[in-house]
Amino acid sequence: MEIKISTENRRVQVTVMEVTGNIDSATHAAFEAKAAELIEGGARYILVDLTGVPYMSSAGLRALSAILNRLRAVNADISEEEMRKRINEGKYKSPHLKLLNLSEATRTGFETAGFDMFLEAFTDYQKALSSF
Amino acid sequence: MPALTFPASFDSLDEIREYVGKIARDAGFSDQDVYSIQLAADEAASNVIEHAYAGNSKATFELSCAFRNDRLVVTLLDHGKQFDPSKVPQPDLKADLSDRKIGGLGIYLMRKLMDEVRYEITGAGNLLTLVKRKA
Repeated sequence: MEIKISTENRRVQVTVMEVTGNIDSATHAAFEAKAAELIEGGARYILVDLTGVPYMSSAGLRALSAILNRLRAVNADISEEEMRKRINEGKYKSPHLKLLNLSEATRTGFETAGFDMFLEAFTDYQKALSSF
Repeated sequence: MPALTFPASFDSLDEIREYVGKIARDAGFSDQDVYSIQLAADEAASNVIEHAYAGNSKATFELSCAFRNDRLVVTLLDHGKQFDPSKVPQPDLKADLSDRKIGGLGIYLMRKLMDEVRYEITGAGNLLTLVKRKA
């Protein structure tokens, strides 16, 4: 797995993590560690570009969840309670963490695990950036 | 059913996904079902590597995959610590997100994506069986 980092200035500064390779039990730790390093360095809005990721297992999903929690810890949008309420009502998507170009295989786990209830997945790079 | 032996290392996962994916595709499963089967086999193998053998990469486990009577059957046999996925509580995904941990997510996916998940302690070792019926 390789990760390329870039930043794009829109309404806010978006950090783009362009990942290449599978995110599974073998690689999730490196993915999560890179995101943690970026957040430590000031990243507050992250777009994970999964165009080069054929496959993600639950290890990758857990990493996304951990990254989201790190972003919320430094820059919470709403309270935990309010977030949970809105997720239950189907009215919440994270403003801090978004995804681009999920493969069909990745989507299988993503949707089955219910991650589409709180993470938005885009298919257009520019639209994804301007959504932050 | 012939079984392949894999080292208890996460590096085995790519080969496992390819192996079960090929058998599922050749059996005529839809792309969606192939992804489900690959994901379930990955989660099962990850559990064996992480929990049954707890990172002992010298250990090995056996995996078989066969299609018969409209059923694809994947088995994993290990000789490590007993780990019964059916004893792991289902995660409440919405609540657990706020609890900052999602336990049992892999097992949740296995149960959701496959038609049967069975765990037995046999004379030969710990046997996990995953079944997907062809629609």
